[in-house]
Amino acid sequence: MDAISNLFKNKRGFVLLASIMVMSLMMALALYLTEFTITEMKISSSQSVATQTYYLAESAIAEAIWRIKNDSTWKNNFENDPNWSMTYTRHDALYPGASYTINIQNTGEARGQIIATGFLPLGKSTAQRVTKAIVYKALGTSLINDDGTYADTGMDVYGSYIHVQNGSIFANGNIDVSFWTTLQSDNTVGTAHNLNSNWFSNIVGTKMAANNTPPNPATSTPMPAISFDNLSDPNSYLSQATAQELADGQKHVFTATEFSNYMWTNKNLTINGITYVKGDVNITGPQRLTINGVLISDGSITVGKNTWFCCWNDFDRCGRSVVIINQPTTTSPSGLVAKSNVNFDLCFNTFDSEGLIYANNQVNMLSLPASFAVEGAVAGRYMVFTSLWQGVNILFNNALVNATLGNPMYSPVVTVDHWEEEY
Amino acid sequence: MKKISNNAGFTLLETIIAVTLSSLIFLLIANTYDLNQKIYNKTDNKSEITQNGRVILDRLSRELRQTQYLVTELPTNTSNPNTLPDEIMFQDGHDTSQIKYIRYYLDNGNINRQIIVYYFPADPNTFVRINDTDQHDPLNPASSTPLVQEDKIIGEYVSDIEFWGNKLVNINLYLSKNNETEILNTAIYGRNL
Repeated sequence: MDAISNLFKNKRGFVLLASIMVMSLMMALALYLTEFTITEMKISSSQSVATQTYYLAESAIAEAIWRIKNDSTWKNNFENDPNWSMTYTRHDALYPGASYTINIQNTGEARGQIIATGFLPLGKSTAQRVTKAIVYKALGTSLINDDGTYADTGMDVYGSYIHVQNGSIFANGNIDVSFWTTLQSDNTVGTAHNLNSNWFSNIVGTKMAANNTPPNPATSTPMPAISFDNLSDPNSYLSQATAQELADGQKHVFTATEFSNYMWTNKNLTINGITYVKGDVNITGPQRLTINGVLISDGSITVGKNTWFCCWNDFDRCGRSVVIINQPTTTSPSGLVAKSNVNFDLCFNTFDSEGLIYANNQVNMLSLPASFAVEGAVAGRYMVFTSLWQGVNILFNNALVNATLGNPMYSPVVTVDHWEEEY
Repeated sequence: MKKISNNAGFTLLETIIAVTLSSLIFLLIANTYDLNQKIYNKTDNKSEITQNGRVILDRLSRELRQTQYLVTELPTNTSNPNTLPDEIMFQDGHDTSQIKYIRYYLDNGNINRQIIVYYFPADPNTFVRINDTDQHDPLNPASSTPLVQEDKIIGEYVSDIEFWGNKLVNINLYLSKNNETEILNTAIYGRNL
């Protein structure tokens, strides 16, 4: 206690002590403030660089989407390769020394995830920002909309049972059904003229659109054209078949006689890709034809041509024909395409097709099929069906129709499903 | 009354030393405070211009992404810096009920956003496209009758803004406040262009 009381009694040096204490306090405050300010400065600086890097990463996503839309290599890979993956880096992007990396990983055809990372140097370190977007392209609507059966003029159905699933039935002219027919669609039965039902027949659909079924008829749709034999058009089927001949060394372009002989020598014939026949194709007798692609004729195609007892070449080969059509890849054309008619005659047994049946003139059916199933669509200038009440099943498939009509498979618009701004 | 026995004060030398020392220390501390104040202002300015830049770019990007038509013709690259426009006008892609145009432009250090509509003198209530011409009145095309519906400042402290690019719209935004500068660059993909 003495020491403490002495300290206060002895007033010499008190001012010094007080000054040191005040100064120390001020110094401590100054140091604290400096520390505080330096931290603020760091935050501000990194915030500023982070903002710049963020916009850099955003511009990377913009470039990626632009390339998917406009760069043919990117576009093809994005649309056709479900496992496509690539990394692309741009240096000196927007700022000197800055860069960004775009990584695209497809999760399916025309659907993928883009991860863009922007890098901006900041002294010795580098600022980094990541943005992520999920993009896709919607399937383009086919030129015949969702019509499982399309007729540019009219459609006549006698004594048949036709069921179009997942699509509509459409004709620009009248649709006439008679003789205990059932014409059924899961969607619309539409015509720009009239729907006529006679002789105990009925037409079934979720919606009827015709002049005689108020309120409105269906809007007319022009028949989509197919380029057959124009050699100056690289997309014409003759040009494509010729190109395939050169590519794989197999024969893809036939005359009518050559193709008939080809079938005669191969009772079970499988043809791949695009096969173009200059003239008519008659699939006769017990011929079994598997088409992994599309069979084109610039005349008519007849499946199960009606002959005496369904025999080919007198009575050499008798029986009923079987035609199976497969689509080899998801973007390749498949089906039967004829410049004139596609006929299903009395001597066919099974027709199972994954593709488009297209006749620039008429689609005719007069037969008693054991099985008739089409996934895709049936389109023709005029259509006559008589299936003798056997089931004709057509499952509309937009992608198959698009692939064969040569319409762009996907909408040109790249849709952004999700855009994760930053992390 | 008690006599003060010890009346010895400070010598002149002691006083001078004490005053000098304390002045020096005081100056040092004052300087530190001053420096801190300057840095604080600097970071404050930096943050403020960054924030302004973000507001401008975010709003502009959103509207530019959705537009269907760019009115301003942009140079494809920056090879001639004098030709880079400091404004951009495009059709509003969000409000599709009417044809409206949005214009962002630099005005005295501010970025302004205008909404402009065009009409034919014969029918001022129907808004038309900027390039349209009334077939009954070809001498007064729509472009001659702009009507500014709205004009607002959306960002400050902009020393320059540049637009360029062929397919992607590139934007260079230069901001400054009290000697503090910031450059924000980005590219926008117009999904409907």
